[in-house]
This record gives sequence, C-alpha cells and structure tokens, in this order.
Amino acid sequence: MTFTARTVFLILLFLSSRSFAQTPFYKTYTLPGGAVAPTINCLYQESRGYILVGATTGLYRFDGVSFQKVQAEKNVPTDVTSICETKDGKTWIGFGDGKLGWLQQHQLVLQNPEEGHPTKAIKKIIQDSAGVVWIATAGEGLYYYKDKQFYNINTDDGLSDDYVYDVMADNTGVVAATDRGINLCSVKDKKHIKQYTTTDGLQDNIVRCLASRNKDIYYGTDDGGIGIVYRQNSTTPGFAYNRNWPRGKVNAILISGQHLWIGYNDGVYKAGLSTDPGAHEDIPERLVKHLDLVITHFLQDAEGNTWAASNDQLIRTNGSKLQSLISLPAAEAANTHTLLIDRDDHLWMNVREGLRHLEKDPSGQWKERIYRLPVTINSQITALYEDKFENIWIGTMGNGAFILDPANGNFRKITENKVLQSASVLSITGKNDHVWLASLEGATLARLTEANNDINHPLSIESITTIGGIGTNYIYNIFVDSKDRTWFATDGKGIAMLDKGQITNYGQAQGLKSEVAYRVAEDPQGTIWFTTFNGGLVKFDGNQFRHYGLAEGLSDLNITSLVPDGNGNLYVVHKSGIDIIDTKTGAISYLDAEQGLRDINTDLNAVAAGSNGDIYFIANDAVYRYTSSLAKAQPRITIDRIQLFLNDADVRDGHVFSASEDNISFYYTGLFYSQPGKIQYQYKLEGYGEDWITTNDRRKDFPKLPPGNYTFRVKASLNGNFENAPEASFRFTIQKPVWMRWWFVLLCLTLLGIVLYWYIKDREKRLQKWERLEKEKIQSQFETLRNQVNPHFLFNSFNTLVSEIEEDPKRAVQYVEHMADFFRSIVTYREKDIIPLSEEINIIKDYLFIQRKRYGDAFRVHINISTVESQQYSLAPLTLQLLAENAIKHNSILKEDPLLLEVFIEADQLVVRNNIKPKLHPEKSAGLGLQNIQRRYELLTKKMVMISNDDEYFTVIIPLVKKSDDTSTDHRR
Amino acid sequence: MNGRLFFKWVMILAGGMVAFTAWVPAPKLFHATTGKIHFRSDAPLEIIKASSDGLVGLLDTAKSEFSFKVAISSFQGFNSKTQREHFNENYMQTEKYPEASFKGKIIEDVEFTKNGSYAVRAKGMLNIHGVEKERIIKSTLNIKDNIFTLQSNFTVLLNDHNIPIPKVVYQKLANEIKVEVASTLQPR
Repeated sequence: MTFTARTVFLILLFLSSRSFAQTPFYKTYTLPGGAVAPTINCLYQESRGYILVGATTGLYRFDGVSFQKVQAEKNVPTDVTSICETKDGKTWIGFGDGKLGWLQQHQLVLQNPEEGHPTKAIKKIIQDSAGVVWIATAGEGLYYYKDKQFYNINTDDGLSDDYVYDVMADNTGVVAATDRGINLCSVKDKKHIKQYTTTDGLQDNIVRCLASRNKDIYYGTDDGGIGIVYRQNSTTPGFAYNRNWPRGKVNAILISGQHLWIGYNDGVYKAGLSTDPGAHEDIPERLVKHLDLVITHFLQDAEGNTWAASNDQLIRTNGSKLQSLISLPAAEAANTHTLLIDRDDHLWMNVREGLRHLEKDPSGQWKERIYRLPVTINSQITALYEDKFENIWIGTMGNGAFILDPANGNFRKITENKVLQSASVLSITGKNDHVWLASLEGATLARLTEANNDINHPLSIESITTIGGIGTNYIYNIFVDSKDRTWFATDGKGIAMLDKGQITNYGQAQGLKSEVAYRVAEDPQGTIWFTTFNGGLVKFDGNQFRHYGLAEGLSDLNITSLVPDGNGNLYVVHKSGIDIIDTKTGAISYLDAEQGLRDINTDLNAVAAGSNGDIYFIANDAVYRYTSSLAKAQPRITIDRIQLFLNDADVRDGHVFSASEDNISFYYTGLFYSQPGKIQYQYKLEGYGEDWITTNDRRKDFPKLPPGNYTFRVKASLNGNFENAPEASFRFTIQKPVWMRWWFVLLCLTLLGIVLYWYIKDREKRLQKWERLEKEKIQSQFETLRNQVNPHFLFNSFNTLVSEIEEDPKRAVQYVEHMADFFRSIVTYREKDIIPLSEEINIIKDYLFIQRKRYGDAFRVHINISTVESQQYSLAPLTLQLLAENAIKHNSILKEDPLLLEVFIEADQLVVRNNIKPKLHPEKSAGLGLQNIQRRYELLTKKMVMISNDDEYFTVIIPLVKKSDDTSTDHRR
Repeated sequence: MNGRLFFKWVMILAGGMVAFTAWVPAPKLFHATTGKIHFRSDAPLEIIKASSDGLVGLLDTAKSEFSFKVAISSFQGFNSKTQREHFNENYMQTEKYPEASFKGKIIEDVEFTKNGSYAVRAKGMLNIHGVEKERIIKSTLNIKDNIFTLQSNFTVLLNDHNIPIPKVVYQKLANEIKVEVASTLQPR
C-alpha cells in the first residue's frame, strides 16, 4: 500500500465499546378490574384478527383500544389459562382448575367431555400440523384429542414428569416442557417419547417455556437460564450469558426475526440470536422496566408487534419490525445529514470526526469504525453514495465531492471538474456506470470505467450546467429511472426530464402546484413520484400529473424525503412521522408517535433503504430500522355481531329474515393494533342505497327495511382512502310478507277458481233442475187442461147440467157456479209451483160437487184434514184433483158398491187412497198423470211420492211442504 | 411324613431364608424424627419471630415425593403473650386452619443410597392459612448412612396466602416472612 501525505489518514478502529442500548418504546393497557389489575395469563390472536386476552378474571377481546369481556355461561370458571383456535374454526379455552371450554360466537361455554375434565390447571393448548389438539396440564401430563376422543400421556407412558408447563408442535413433532426435562412426543402408531434432561446437558430440569426456530428447540428454565436443543445432533447447549447473568426463572420466550424475547419476573428482555449459542455473551437488553412486572406470556401479532402479558398490564412493543439499532448523542442525531446503507447492509453516516461505518459482527453486535476526514469538511458532509466498485462518494456543502476506498481508508477530492470543486452537493445518485451529483451549481455526471475501481484513476466528468435546459442550477436530486430517463428535481423550476438528449420541463403550466421539488423516485409499476415544497406528493404515470395529498391519506404535506424500498413501498418522511405507501394497493400505513417515534431527522438524505428493503432513519436520538416485510399495511375488518331488534341474532351469511324481521343492526370492528386510533369505516347496504358512507361508528342500524336482497359491506381504512381497503360483507334477504309471496297468490287464485267453478257448476245444475221442473209443470198443466177439457168430462157435465136445468133450475145455477169455480182455479193455479193445501181442498170440493151430481152416493170422498192442517201445508197444485180423477177413471162406480176416496195427513204426508174396484173394460191409460206427479214432487221436495197397490187399496202418499220451509221451494230467479 | 423329605423341606426353607436376608432392600420410606421450623418477620416497628419443633414429615425415595406439616399452635418463643395471641387469632386463624403443609416432589434426581450433600428443589403445594400456593423451594439434603438431614430457607408472602395485614399494624408486620426449616429423617 502506498501512502501519500495528502490522502492518507489514520483509521481508528473501535471494538464496539459503546453501549447501543436505549429505552425502547412500549405502550401499556390495563384490564378493567378493581383496585388490583387482574393477572393476564395468556394471549392469542384469532384468525379474524382479534387479540384474545385470558386473565384470572375471565376472557376478553381486545380491539386495540378497549377490552370487552366475553360473556360466560353459568359454571364456567374465570381463570383462563390457555386459548387455541383450531383449524375447524373452534376456539378452545383452558382454565386454571383443569376445565376445558369453547368460545362460541359471543359466549364462553364448558366442554363436557365424556372422559371428564382434567383436575389440574391447563397450562397450554395447541394444535399440531395433523390437526391433533394437545393439552398440557400441571400434574396430569399431556392430553391429546384425536378423532373426538381424549387420550392421556403421563409418566406411565414414559413422560419424564406429569407437570407440563408448555407444549409446542413444529413440523417434526410435539415438544413438552416438564418439571423433569423436555420430551419429544409422537403418537403415530404408539406413544413414543424421547426425553432430554440435565443428564443430556439440559440447563435445568424445570423447563418452563419453549420456542421453535429452524427445527431447533429454544427453552427457558427455572434456574438455568436459556438453552437450545439441536435436533440434528441432540446437543443442548445453554446461552453463554446464563453463566454471568443469573436472572431467575424464565416465564416466557418468543422468537421474532433475529431476536429472542424473554419474559422474567421483572420485565421484558430482548437478546440477539445467532446460530451459535456460545456467541450470546452479551446480556439481553431490558425493554420494559418495572420492578414487579411478572411477564407471563408473549404474542407476536400479524402486524409484527410483540405483546407481553403480565401480572399487571398488557404491553405492546414494536416487535422486531421497528427497532432502534444504535443510540446517538442528541447533538449527533440532530447533525446527521446523510445516512447510507451499502450493499453489505453496513451503515454509513456523517459524524463530527468524519464518517462512521457500522457493521454487525457474527454475534449480532454492531462494530463501529470511524473514517477520519479533513476537519474542514467534516461538518459539511451532505450526501453519501456507494458506486459499483463499492467506493464511497462524499458530497459536501461548498467543498465539492470526495471518493473514499473503504478497503484501505484512502480518499481523494474530485478535482476533475472546476465547477464541482467548490460546489455545494445536495445529493449523489447513480445507475450502473453513471454517477450524478446534484448541487446548487447544477448537475454533474461522472461516467465510470473499469479503471475507476481505483479511486485515484481520473474520472470522466461532464457538467451540464451549460446545457441550460433544466432552467436553474439549483438542483436537489437527480434520478435515473428504469427507462433510462433522467429526472431533475429543482428549486423553482419544477421537474425536468432528460430523455435521449432532449430535456422536457414540467412546471406550473403542466399543473404542478409547487415548482420546488426535492426528491424523485420510481415505483415498480414505473410511475414516477416526487415531493414538492408544501405540496405533498406528485404522481406522474407518463401522461399526467396527479397530486397526492391529504385526501389520499398522507398525514402531512411538508415532505422532506422520499425513499422507495424496492418492494413497492414508498417511504414519505415528514416531521411528525413516516407514511408508508404501498404503491400496488394505495394503502398507507404510518410510523409515528404510536410507535414511540419523535424528533425524526428530516434532513433530505438522512433516510436510506437497505438491500432487502429495510428502511433506516433517525429518530429519538437513535438510528431506527423498519422491516416492512414483518409489518402489515392494512387493517383487518370483521363484522362482530348482527342484531335483530337490538338482540343478538345467530345468523350466517346469506340468512333469510322473515318480513317482520326488518330491524337489523351491524357491529363491525377494524383492527390495526399499531394505529388503533386511525381506523375509519365506510359502509354501504347494497339493495338499499348505492353510496358508500364514511363513519367512525362501529355500529349501524337499519330499521324498517323493506323486503328484498341486501349485502351489507363495510371497509376499514387508516386514512380515509378506501380504494383498496379490506372489506367484510354480509348477505341477507328479507322475505316478502306471506300475502305478497307468489305461492300464496297462486294458492288464492286457485281456490278462487275452484269456488267459481263450483258455483257455476252448481248454478247450471240448479238451472237445469228448474228447467225440468218448469217442463214438468207445463206438462202437468197441459195434462190437467187436456183432462179437464176432456170431451167426456164436458159431455157428462153438460148432460148432468141439462137434467139439472130440467129438474131444478136453481141447482143448475149452483152447478154451473161450481163448474166455473173449478175451471177458474185450474187457470189460476196452474202457473204456481205450490199452493196451500186449503186451496187444493177447495178445488177438489168443486170437482167433487160436479162429479157427485153424476155418480151420487156411488162416489164418496172423505177428507179428514183439519183447517189448521190445511193452512199449515202446501202441495203442488191439482195433485188431489188428478188423483181423484184417476180413481174415477180406473174404477167402476156402482151404487151398491161405492168408490171411497180417503184423504188424510200422516207424518207430514198426504195420504190419498181408494178401494180398488176394477172396471170390466179398463180404460186405456198412459199413466202420464201419476208419473207427472212423481217427478214434480221429486224436484220440489227431493222426496219420493209413494204409490202402492195392495189389491184392496190404491194408495198414493205425497210428501207435503211445510209452510216454514216453503221458501226453499221458490226456484225461480 | 418321612424324614428325608422333611430334611429336604428344611433345607429349601433355610436356603430361601438365607437368600432373603442376603437381599436387604434399601429403605424407601423415611420419616422426620426431628423437625424444626423457625420464622421471622422484619417489620419496621416490630420484629416477630417464633419457632416450632413440631414439624413432621415423610419422604418416599422411590417416587421422590414428600409431605411435611406443622401445627400452627406449636409455635413458641414470641416476644409476648399478646403477640402469640395475635398470631394465632388475627393472622393465622389457627382454629380454622390448624396446620400448614408442604407436599410435592423433589425435582433433582438424587441417589438416596449414596452419602453426600445435594442441592435439591422441592416443588409442591404450600398450604398456609388454607390457601395453596405452588412453590419451588431450594433445600440442602445431606445423606449419611441412611440418615437424611434437610435444611431450607425460603420466604412466604402473606399476600400469597390471603393473610390480612390490618392497616394499623402495617408497620408491625412485614409482607415477607423468612422461614428456616431443619429436619432429620430416618428410615421408617
């Protein structure tokens, strides 16, 4: 190595003698309770996002702000000691008295296994990869639940002890920590147990907690500190610091990233992890300091936060995603102008003496090295850049630029360009062979050749101040994008873009609100982003500029720095925090006071990205590293409960409510434990309203919903930007009321049809019947008329009349009167269906008067009917007359053997009978008269006319119509 | 019975007895022949101390299990009679909870047949004032020719056992009570 007086300075090498520890951030939450806060036994994050908190006073759901106690059935114990959600969606709960329970929807219920509950405290419940549930008990060994059956593993099966503190499953099996060592258990064909105890080198037989990493088992003991069981060679070394740092019993351990979190009886500690436990010399860093803070359990949530449960409080730390790496003296933190992360993820920063270089040694500790630079430039360093040869470029204020070879510490000033020699460099950037220096004196481009591997080899430098196309010499930042276009961020002239020798300027004319631009960056989609003075971000998609500000979710418009992490995230730095834009989804998450960050160094170059996308920045007088891959950008949203008329309803997606169930309320929660205060909601009930409504409420009521199909959709966002926000939804239907449903309408129509059909049919029948009656009546009238005007009858009557006139003219007149009455009656009544019996008797009397004149005593008639009866009954007109006529017609009438016609009433029936005295020459008869009577009565009364002939009497029994029901006989309409 | 056969039986029996006496089993059950327990409360205004010789106990070396208990009323040596009364009536409620006990197992694998001094941890349920508390208590076990001497110091927190400290005597009674135990155990 050749040294020249000008370029060689001494390199001071420190072996990390300084302590890098400093107070880390944490936030505490206290469970509701009496004067003494309940002890928290266990924590669990449900698959839908809620953190469940098991405490001595019961089970709680924690949403980041408050604890909600889960209601429990009667007889359910309060001391919740373990929680485990299994793959089938059930949540197991273990209690301090050995009982087991389920968390159902909103209630804690007891399991009632046939085998009975364990009687010793449940210490842990887990599910292995095969779906078997394992239960650790404090005195009854292990239980496992397989095919709906509980099985026990205890000392009789080879378990080293029945007191099991912890059980965990990794892809190689189930590991149980007991009072007498660690047991590896498998139950594939038969129970197989391998023990590790102090005889195998275990640090202590009482193993209280377990963690798994790369198939190896990390364990914390009662009295022997922390150790590892290497599965590969079955060795069980302890951590080196166990020897010189006896801290007492280890209550809980957690592995997160490169760290081991340890819970003791006096707080939370964190240790770096390396593959060699012997390297763990340094005592763990104490993160949470409280004298009597007994840590009981750890949880790492889906956002990368690490939670600690304790006898007093619930503690949230930033976990491994946000770490303070190196603490700095306050003056140094404020005076750091530039931060560089090189290809090996070593840190470079300007300090009073020159440049500080920090790298991690194999044990995970930071080793520091100072590169001393000439005193004159130390305070002036503004920018750092690592070129393709891993040489470090140093930009200064007013003193141009330098190049440093980190391998030997040699450096030199760049003197090849006159303008650059005294330039004030604001940033150094580059791509491949090109290195760009942005300064108050314009842009300078250095083109590297292979020879420039040696920093002393002259550089080919071109100053483009003279091009003038940029419009100003005040340039903050130069950026070469993926299409090899070069972007210049200027002070006062907006943005200039150099493409194939052509410069295009973008300023107010193109819609930029501010013409002061600080930083340019590109996202993986090829969109160009740049920051402007007090104008937020501007997004250029190749065609147009879009301002990106508070409405899009930025928390501050006064942006100083903009750093892409190469994974699609943009880090937007401002005084109050860092906004992280996921450029793929537009989601923005935040690092701010919620993470304990304050005093963020907003120097333009004081934020840098590492090779794997980690972001480094300075805040709280320390260098911080944020690992976005461990974090989560979006909140989760879940619909907690659905109520019907303000009572919980156990309903699933797609539920059908009845028409009266029209008052529905939704309770939903957005979960983002890192920023619980920032959650906002937007909801919409599809089928009811088409607009999204933004709200901070976590409940929405819909009273009086009309029948229909609905989908309740709700989104949660941290920043009012709901474009790609996560969503939860619930589909449901409210049925139409019965009288509006199709089947009911159809049923009604059918019934109506049937009734109508029946009615029409019936009417038709009745009409037919009436027609028939009418026809019979006409026939009867005709018959009667025909009979009455029968020439015989008339001839006889006239003959009688002639003899009467001769004998006794007075009686002849009487005779004619009767004849006239008779014929008038026939004419009067023939139209009627029925006539009173009394009328009929009058007719027959007239008729008999006429006939008696002819036959004298040879034809006798006995009518044995009282006046009352004759008033009471009715019958078809001319019935009696017809029967009397019939009797005369068919019998011989002789004085010595008279014909007797008897008429009387018997059981509502009119009996008409005569003694039979057959004629020698019977008259021909069609029997039409009787048939006619029979049919008429059938139609009238639906009763039969009985006709009997027993050689002595000819009897006709006619059903009479009683006055009371004779209305029913009026068929005409 | 003929004489030869009788002789044969005698020989078999005698042989059996010789064999039996030759195999002397190590004793499995030990009981405390002496048992001393002493406690001390260092409160700012008053020191309370007392001791008892009434500690009794059993140790099953086959299972590494033990059980010790002491009658609270057997404690003697208080500063005054009133102090003893307070102790029995106000704090310990001796009539209701007459005994304190500690039952459990020894964590370490001890070769009880081998002479030597062993540091062991006794883990079990400590029952004082009717309230059980799981404890791991470090003890020293000396074994010499089947005689065990056990020695242990530990503290008891009154909070843990629901022993109330009235506000008035707050300055007189410390929450932390120091306890010393010494016992000799011999085969039973």
